[in-house]
Amino acid sequence: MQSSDAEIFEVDMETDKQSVINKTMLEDFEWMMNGEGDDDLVPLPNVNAAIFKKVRPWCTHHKDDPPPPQGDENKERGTDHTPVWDQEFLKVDQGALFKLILAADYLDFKSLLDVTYNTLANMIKGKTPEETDKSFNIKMTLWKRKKPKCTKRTVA
Amino acid sequence: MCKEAEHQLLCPLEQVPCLNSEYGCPLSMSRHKLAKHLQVCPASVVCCSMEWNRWPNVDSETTLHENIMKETPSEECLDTALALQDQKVLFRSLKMVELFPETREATEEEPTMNGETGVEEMGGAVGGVDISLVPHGLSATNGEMAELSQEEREVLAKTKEGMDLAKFGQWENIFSKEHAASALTNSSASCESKNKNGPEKKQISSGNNMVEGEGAPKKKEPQENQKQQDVHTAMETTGLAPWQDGVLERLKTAVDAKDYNMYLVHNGRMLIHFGQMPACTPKERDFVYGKLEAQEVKTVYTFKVPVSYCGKRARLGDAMLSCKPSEHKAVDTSDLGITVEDLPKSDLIKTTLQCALERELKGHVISESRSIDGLFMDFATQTYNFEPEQFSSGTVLADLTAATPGGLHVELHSECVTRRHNKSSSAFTFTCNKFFRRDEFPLHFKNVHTDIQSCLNGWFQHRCPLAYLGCTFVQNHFRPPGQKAKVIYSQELKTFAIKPEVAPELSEGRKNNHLLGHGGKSQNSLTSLPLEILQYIAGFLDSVSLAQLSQVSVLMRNICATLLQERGMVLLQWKKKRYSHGGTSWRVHREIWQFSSLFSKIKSWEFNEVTSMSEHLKSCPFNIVEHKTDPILLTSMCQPREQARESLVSTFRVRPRGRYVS
Repeated sequence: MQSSDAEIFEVDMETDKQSVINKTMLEDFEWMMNGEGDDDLVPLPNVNAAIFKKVRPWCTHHKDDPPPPQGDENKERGTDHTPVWDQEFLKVDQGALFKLILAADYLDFKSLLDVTYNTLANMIKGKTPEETDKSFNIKMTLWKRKKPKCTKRTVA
Repeated sequence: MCKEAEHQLLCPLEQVPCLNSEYGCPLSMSRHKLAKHLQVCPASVVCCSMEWNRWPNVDSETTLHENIMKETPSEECLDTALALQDQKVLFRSLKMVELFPETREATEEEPTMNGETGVEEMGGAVGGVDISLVPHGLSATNGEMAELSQEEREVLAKTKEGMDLAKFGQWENIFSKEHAASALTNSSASCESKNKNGPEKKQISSGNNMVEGEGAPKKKEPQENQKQQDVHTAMETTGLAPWQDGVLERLKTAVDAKDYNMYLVHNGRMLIHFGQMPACTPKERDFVYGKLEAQEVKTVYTFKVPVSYCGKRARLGDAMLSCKPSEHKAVDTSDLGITVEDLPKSDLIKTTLQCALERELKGHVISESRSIDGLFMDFATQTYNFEPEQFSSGTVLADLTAATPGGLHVELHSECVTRRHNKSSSAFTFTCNKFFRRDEFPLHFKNVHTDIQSCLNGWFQHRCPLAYLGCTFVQNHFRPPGQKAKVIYSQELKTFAIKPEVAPELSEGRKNNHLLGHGGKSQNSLTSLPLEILQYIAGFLDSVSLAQLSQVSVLMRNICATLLQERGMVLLQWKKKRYSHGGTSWRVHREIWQFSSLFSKIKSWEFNEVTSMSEHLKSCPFNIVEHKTDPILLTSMCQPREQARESLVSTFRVRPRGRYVS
């Protein structure tokens, strides 16, 4: 496979089967080439080399994991138990985390997506709007919080 | 075909709106899905009625409270945060003038009737436009509205702005009644001014003109003009005021019997007062009262309602007190040796809290009325000297304490007692009053009130045993399972929340990192992520976090809005509308979609990894260890052994035997 910055990686079907795209692309490519030679490259325009190097250990570690279950759309998603290995894996800065999310989304790594989404959600939970704005440096117009006009009187 | 309508009422596959559609739910679904949907319907909203009591601070805990307030308030110190929030609510509800009526400002005007103009809509006459929208040229002069000219009426009739012709029929009906009534009442005033001014002058009441200024259609105007002309004609040639001589004779010829009787009904009292008509039975011709001599009725008020029985009765007071004149007597303070101005000032907060509780028990009055010989004498009881001597009617305790440094004047621990229990009347009661969707309410009650709030007194949260001496050390023993997170109380959110712990690396925002690669600067932002990803991430947040995220920016607000129907709730905002005829009604003003303050569901709690309290006690500054070196006598070693021990038997004297002989 060739990353967006022209770096070439060799992939192992067994290890990279987590990625649906990888699997699909490689299967199609193998069918097209009838299994002859492996000189041609599969382009990954949305993933740079650094991120691809970061993602590969994840694939290796989680290669035997079962597929994630489909949850109820109406309920709050999220996992309460993030494995320790995953927590250490995600100790990166915000920019890298966003890149990981985009790469996982492009490569369709469901398990990596859920973990990164959960990590990002944990960064937002429990924060006031000002704290969220400061934490992510959004620098957009702060929504002025207006207290709704109370039509009934609450008495202590 | 004939059964089609019935089938539509019964078929489970028929698409029907939600049962709560009147309350804001926009969804429609097959009939057989209604029951399941109602469990998560956004319009099924409940209000939490949880109550808890809190006492004012006792002197023994003043040191602890002072030490707590000296430190920076921590969101993890749950009992302190909750107590401070309750104190804020309490101070905002205590009106000084209600507790101490003697401190009301003397020059203060009566509070206006329209105190809630913020939510009230003062409709114009019979629902028309407000007077402020009337063009400037028609502004009131000398208290009367100038009449619209025909050209101005036509211009207003052509403009559609501000007109609500759908209600025209209703207005016409109400207006015609108002017009007739106002014509009768204004007849006297117009007649007098007519006599002064001489030439004809049309004078129309302000209520009529406001409706006309609204742009009534042209076909209504000729009818109005005809009515006005009839009335004015009557006013010009006859006087129909009750105090004018010959009014009844003129009225008999001017109106029919029905209107004549109605005039007598409305103005009969004034007619009798001005001698225009005699009373039904003059006193000298009355069979019963004609022979009696009128005397003033004297009563003796010896029965006094016992005020100690119920505080509410003491608040209501004697119903006749306001009718009888009373005499004021103050307490003589000359024996104190100081002037009234030099008397020490009362502590504002302590006194206010004490009197607020006293009012529940026996009522705080500045004087007690005692009846002596049929006269009421007011004896002064207890008054208080405050720094600000007088308060306006709207002053609350929070206004007076805003400038002073914050303190904690209520106890840290609270008691949860339901309404069905006889709770102590010397405590302040606080209520939750938060709205939740029906399926969220059990989670809120369990996690917030049952698990956390009611367990703050030593189970969920543990204070140092030497807290009574002033130690502020506190530990939280429980945390949510799995993830590293802590329970906080957010003063901004006014509720408990779960705050996951975030790795320090993730807290670093913009940072040059090799993983970014080329063009990383523009993509190093939460807002750079695609909308689908942001929406999916928002699905991982709990309700309270969604409520806060929606206030960060317009983009985040739009992202969170996509989850409103699934995770949010809809409330109706009501507005009170007043009409010129005095009636009021409540109307739905708008629907408000919002997220509740529920945090992530917690089925079970795990123990937090904290050190034992004994480790803290080793280094607690209030743990003063005393090492005794001098020997101490035991109690059994205090008395010498030679002394005979006295027992119950030895206390009885020996009596001589035999019969008593004197």
